Amino acid sequence: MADLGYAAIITAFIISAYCAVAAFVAARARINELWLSARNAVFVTFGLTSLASAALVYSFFTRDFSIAYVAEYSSSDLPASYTLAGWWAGQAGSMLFMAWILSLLSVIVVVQGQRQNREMTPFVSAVLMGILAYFLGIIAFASNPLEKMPLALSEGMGLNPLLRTSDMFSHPTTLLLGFSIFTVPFAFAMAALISGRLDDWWIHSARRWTLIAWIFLSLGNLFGMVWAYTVLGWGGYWGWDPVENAAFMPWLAATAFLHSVMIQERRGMLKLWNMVLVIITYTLCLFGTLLTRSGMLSSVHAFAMGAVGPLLLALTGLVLVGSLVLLWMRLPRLRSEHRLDSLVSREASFLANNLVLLGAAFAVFWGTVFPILSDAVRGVKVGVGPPFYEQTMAPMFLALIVLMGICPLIGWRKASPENLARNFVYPLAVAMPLALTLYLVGVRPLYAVLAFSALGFVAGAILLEFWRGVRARHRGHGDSYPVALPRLVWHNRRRYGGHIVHIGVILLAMGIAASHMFSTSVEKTVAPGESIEVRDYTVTFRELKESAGSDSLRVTAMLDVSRGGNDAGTLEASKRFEGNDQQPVTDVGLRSTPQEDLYVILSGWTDDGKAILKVAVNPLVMWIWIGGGVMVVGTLIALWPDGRRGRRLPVLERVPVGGLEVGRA
Amino acid sequence: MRRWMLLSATVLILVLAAWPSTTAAGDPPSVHEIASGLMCQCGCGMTVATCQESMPCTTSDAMVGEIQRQISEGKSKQEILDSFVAVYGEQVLALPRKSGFSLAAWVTPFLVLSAGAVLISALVWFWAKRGAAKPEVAAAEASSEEFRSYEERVDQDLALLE
Repeated sequence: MADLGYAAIITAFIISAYCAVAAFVAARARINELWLSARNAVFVTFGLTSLASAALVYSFFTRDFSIAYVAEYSSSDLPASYTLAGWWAGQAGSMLFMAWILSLLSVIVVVQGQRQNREMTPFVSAVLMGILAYFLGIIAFASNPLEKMPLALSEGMGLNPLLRTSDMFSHPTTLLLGFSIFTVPFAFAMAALISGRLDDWWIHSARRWTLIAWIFLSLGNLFGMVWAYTVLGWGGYWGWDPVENAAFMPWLAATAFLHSVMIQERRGMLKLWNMVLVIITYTLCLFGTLLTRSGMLSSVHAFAMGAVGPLLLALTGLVLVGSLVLLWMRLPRLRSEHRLDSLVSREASFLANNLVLLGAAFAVFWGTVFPILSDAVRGVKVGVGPPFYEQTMAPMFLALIVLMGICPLIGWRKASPENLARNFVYPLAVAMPLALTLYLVGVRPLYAVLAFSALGFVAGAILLEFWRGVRARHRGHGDSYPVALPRLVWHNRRRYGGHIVHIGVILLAMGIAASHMFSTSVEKTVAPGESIEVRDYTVTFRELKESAGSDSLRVTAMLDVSRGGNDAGTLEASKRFEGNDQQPVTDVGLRSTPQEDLYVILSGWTDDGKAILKVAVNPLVMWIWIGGGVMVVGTLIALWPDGRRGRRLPVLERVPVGGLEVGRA
Repeated sequence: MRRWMLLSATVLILVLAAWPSTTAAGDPPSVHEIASGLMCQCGCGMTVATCQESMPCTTSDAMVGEIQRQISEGKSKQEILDSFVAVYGEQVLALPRKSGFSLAAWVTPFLVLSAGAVLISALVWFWAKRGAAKPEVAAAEASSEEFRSYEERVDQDLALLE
């Protein structure tokens, strides 16, 4: 089966490379037969990558320890549920997983291309299949997950205990999906540059695909946060690890694109800028893939260093330089149809939003690569840890929150003083009293007051948008208020979906700000019967309990919790040893409410039965997860296809040109 | 332009420098406080504090032991951090120093952001000035945009879609 799978990889590499060239030639020379052949090659490539993936999964389930990758990431006693996760648990398998997703995306693009952008689909396919061929080349010749060992092992090494969790199915898969899907908007942008058709056709498809990728990347990051917080016991949900940063940078750049693309759609401006943003986003995705696989930086997520690093570095360089050269060649045709009229306009506020988002992405990038830079310049590898990011990002995130409130309040082109007064008065009426109240009730430090009143300002701005829309529907259509709200959202999905995403961001930011600024923790060694008090919680250590599984040992601290003198149940915080691994896995004790989380980590224990416990009270953490969910729901609403709008778009007329059937508006 | 850039950069650096740290100066050092300022040298990429809480290794165990020993000797936070730098080099610090080459880690993001802000402001100002030279077009467009009420805009959107 492994031989068949490897043959499929090699064949897929050859066919995808052929497809990239054939699709490009067919598009340039307008040879319909060649395009049909290339289109079929897309389907064949998907079939072959599916076959290779099936061979790998089959090898995992049949415990074929003659395959090095299977032996490294599974063992006979690994539960079936985690066996599948072995596919993406390591470097070679995750590369195959990404290649499989990319081949599936290519099929979707080709199928969609039969209905829209017919004449451009060959260009898009050429880019997609070119990138896929490169990945398949790496898999075939540098990182083969189906590589056999000279002698089969009698037993595998098993999956890392840290990865034996249900989060292994949500966090890495959504992140890899997000990274892979960003290839599609990049392919549309490159197709526009290569073909020279630089009108808005590519923007609509790129925006839609970017939103889909953005959802997956958001989910991937959120699932990672949940994993870190509830399972790994990082003491937080975000550790500013280089690989976490790698997933965050393209998210920031894509967010900037999703905002600036509105200006191009609405006013025909920022054409060059949008191209640049798509290129930056995809380059950052490749950079993230490179960081994880190159061994350049120390990270809990990093795979072993190998030949893949230089190959991915070459691809990143190739993509960046190639796309910038194309951009340079098409520069004269990327002129905006209009110019910005005023600094006080929605366009300018969106530009400010873009600036801060990219500034934040640069700050993260700079912090991530600074150790390498410092090593190259001074020969000293400087440490850049979480406190650096927290201090540099805090003012930028605050600026982003404020801009999020300001942008929708300012009119297009040039806002008049009347416009500003009318739209700012209500949000300010929310923010100012909130700031005063927070100050008077003793909230400190002052930047906490600033952050929460900024969130109040944004909430006021969004509520104002909803209220005015609902009132307009009530007056114009006679809808009752409860009916007007869902109809308003449903009939303006893109606009109000965006506002719902912003509500999610407010909730998420509220949770992050509160848990970061007002978290309280105590670390103490306690004997049975002794208590730790944090705020109004009392956590009493009852006993240490040892429980042995077939191949694991768990040490659990049994805890009684009371709050304000009232019984609040029990908690368990434990350390788990899996197999022969001497490094324990932490399972935190967590009592979560909308108001706050009681969070207990068993840091260690002594020979005489004492437990070393870290007890923390983290306010409003639950709102981070709720906010993330609201963001995803809002994005889905904004993304939901609008049939009526689709019917109003100009219908492409099928006209055979030079043998290639193309559409003409 | 240069003066603006300098002014913006100075303001941002001052804001950054004034950004309050999580611990008040003068507090006696705790193990967690110091462990949060040191990177674990096992290769996990986490601070010693985080490594200890999640998946402790022998390296972070040894580092915590050393922190405890030095605290018991009455050493200050800075003295303890310096002692680790003497052993492992600057890479052990979770925060780059705000001096020498490492200052670039702190300043560069804000300089880039300031430069971007100045550039965008200058471009918008230039475009707006050039647009003002064609008042007959701009004024007509602007007036129609400016004085259209928000309710009308929403109504138009809804009417278009229904």
